[in-house]
Amino acid sequence: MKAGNKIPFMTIALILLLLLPFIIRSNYILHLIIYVAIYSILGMGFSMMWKNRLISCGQAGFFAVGAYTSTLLVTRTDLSFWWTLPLSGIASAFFAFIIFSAALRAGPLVFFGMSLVSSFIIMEVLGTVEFFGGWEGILDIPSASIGSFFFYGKISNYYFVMILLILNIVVFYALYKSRIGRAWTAIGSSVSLAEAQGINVYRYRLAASTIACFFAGVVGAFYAQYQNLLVPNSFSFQLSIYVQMYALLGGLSHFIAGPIIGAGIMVFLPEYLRVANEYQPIYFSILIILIVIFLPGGILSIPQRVPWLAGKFGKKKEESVMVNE
Amino acid sequence: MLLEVKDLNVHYGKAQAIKEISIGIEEGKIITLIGANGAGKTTILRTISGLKKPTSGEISFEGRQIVGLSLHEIVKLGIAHVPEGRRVFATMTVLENLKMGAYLRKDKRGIEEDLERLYEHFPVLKARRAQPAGSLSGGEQQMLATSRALMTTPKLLLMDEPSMGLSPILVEEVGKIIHDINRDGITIILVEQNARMALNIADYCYVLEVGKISMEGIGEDLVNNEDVQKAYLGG
Amino acid sequence: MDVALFFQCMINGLAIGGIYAVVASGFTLVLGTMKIFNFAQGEFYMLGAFVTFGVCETLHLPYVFGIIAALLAMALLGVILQRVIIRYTYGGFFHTVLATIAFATILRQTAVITFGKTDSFMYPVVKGRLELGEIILNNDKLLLIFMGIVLIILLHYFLKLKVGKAMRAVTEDQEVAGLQGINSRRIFIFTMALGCGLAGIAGALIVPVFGATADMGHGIFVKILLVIIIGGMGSMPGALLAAFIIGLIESFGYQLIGSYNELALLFCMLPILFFRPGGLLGRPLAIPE
Repeated sequence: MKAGNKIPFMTIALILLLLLPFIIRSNYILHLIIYVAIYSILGMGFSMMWKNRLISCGQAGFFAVGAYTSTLLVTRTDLSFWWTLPLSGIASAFFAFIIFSAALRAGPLVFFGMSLVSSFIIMEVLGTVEFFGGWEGILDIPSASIGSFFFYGKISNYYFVMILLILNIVVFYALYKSRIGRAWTAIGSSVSLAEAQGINVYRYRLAASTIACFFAGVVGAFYAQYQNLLVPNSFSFQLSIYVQMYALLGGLSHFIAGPIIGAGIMVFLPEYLRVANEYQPIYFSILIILIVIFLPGGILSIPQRVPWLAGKFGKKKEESVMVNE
Repeated sequence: MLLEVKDLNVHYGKAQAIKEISIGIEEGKIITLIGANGAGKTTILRTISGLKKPTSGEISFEGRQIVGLSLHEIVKLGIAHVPEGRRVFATMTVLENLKMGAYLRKDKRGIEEDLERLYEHFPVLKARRAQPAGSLSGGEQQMLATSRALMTTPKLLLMDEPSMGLSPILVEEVGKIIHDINRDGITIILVEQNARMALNIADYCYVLEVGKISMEGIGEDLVNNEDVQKAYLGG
Repeated sequence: MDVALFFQCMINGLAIGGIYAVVASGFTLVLGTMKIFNFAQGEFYMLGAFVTFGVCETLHLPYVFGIIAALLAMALLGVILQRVIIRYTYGGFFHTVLATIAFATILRQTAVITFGKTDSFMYPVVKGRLELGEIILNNDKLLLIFMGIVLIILLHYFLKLKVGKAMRAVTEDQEVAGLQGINSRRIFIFTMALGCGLAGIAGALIVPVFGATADMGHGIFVKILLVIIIGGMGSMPGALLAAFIIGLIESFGYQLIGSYNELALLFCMLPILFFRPGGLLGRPLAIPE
């Protein structure tokens, strides 16, 4: 698709998004779509780190930091939710900055381990320390409001999260097109080559992980006021894995579309298959193994794999995910 | 012919590194491959020793096809490879490195005898046998890597840039060592940047340019060849 | 903190540390040799505990058989994981990681469904306690420490054998190890069996003291990560040292600062990583590109 064709396409997509609540009219489906948006934002954060060949196993943790920051500020002080929205992003980014500035010095493998460890410890602390509400969580979190209008229903929250999502996409897209994005791409294709070009790999990687966690924090604040309650267990390691899985399923070399498509499929599919909750992780895991083995490039790599489709849609140069021969 | 390579093609991804190359070496000889960086010298060695699978072509060793055999089977047949950059096991001691070379051998006495012989040849290895190999100097590491390869009792020794990063005096020393090894009856394929040294000791020489053989002949002839002088011997 | 409590904490710390050391050394072997981040290590530990419990409690066989059964069963399961799944994840490091995560989730969830999430299955082997004046030491924990140390010593000597050295050679440079005639495929199978078997043994050792629970694999895995990050990725002595340090910090920390313990542990790690990026005794290990 050429750049010129993109604008009408985008306009149609936007109008469709705008009208969607009136077309669907099902609160339940809107609820699922809101979840798709939340997971997409988390997944795009993961992809931003993956662009730098960093594997984050802790998106859930930074999501939680944002959610709890906003909630505690709203319930314990008189601060308006709209102030806490950026603040929770900043808190999450700050936390990420501290942890990853140490971890990245030791390389991607330690980054990987630390992201997991820190998200696990965040959950433990939220659960065990009284100040954060314990394992029972925090109830009765007020919804966001503008004047006397409260974000109670699905429709208002749908528009709220879509604004966040679009903002996220625009910022990420702009970043990827900028000088920073080109540096990330260079790091992603070869760290040693990037270093040879004079790119400070450490700084660029730290920037990517801080930015990604900022957005995870912001969407965490949204999540808290949408759900009106927070339970530490909903920020478990499993969520981080699901986020990774969405990105993988969509296509790891598609940094924006991949997570969105992956999240869309994985949120709706189990609902229609009506899998028992207990067994869901098992089926998901089997699916992960199958994707990893048979479709390592994700769904968006299918056009390149099927020859006659490749001619029509194979516009993008294949960005290889093969790490070793 | 001890080793015969026929119509070899090798690719890295889509890029072709070796195009239709055929070389042969008779038992007891030294041949050398010279050429610029990226000409495909290292790739040929890696393909012979089984580190890299060729796209097509044949490699026969003592009349037996070895393409597709796994690394340890090729080692067992008697091909040893001293890789570029020496690559000793840095955290293991010198002695452990040498013992790794003898990994497939069962003859304890033979191993001991070979060790003694190598120690005689390279006294420095004996002196440092309990030190981690990573602490050796470049020249010492080269000796160790070569000795480790010799511990596999090879018939054919592939040497990749043995003089890389060594001082001129040591380069001469390496040349002498290669000569000595060859005198003991081991056939050698030598890949070198240092073309002068290589041409001096080799019986036969191939010049590679971007994956193809551009010239071949006896060492002396090539030394006197104008093109070779210009390109590889510094005029 | 009085003397009795101090010794109590010490013994607890060493006992937990010993378990961490055994599981983490298995993990380190696999990580170093095969460059695989085996997320299922914690679940192998959990399953090892259940295998031992099953063999001892249900089949009424002696405890020793329970240990051996856990070792063999987990070694076999590890090899299956490697041969059936990991081998085909040609997408690279991340794909392999996801595959082991998925495998771990399947094991864990199956255990949770079968045994319940927090039910503890205990099989006491030694009873009683040692009383030295005020100091009271539980025999089962002493046994645990003893077994942990014996295993570590055995492992140390094992790595000096020819096959152990071959494993070290593959760890350092797989290609060059191959050029010496080392069959890395065979070494991989062996490493996987040993690494996962060690987790199984550790599980077997924990059954008499703390019992087997379905979600214990998850908790220990995070601790193993801490251990290898602090000790140095792929460094065996580092892992052992860090395992005992973390065991002790945890046992004393819990006594002193209660639930802030974990957070303190996290912030203890940051300066270590910052000033010694390779961990206490290691060099930074790179993800294979």
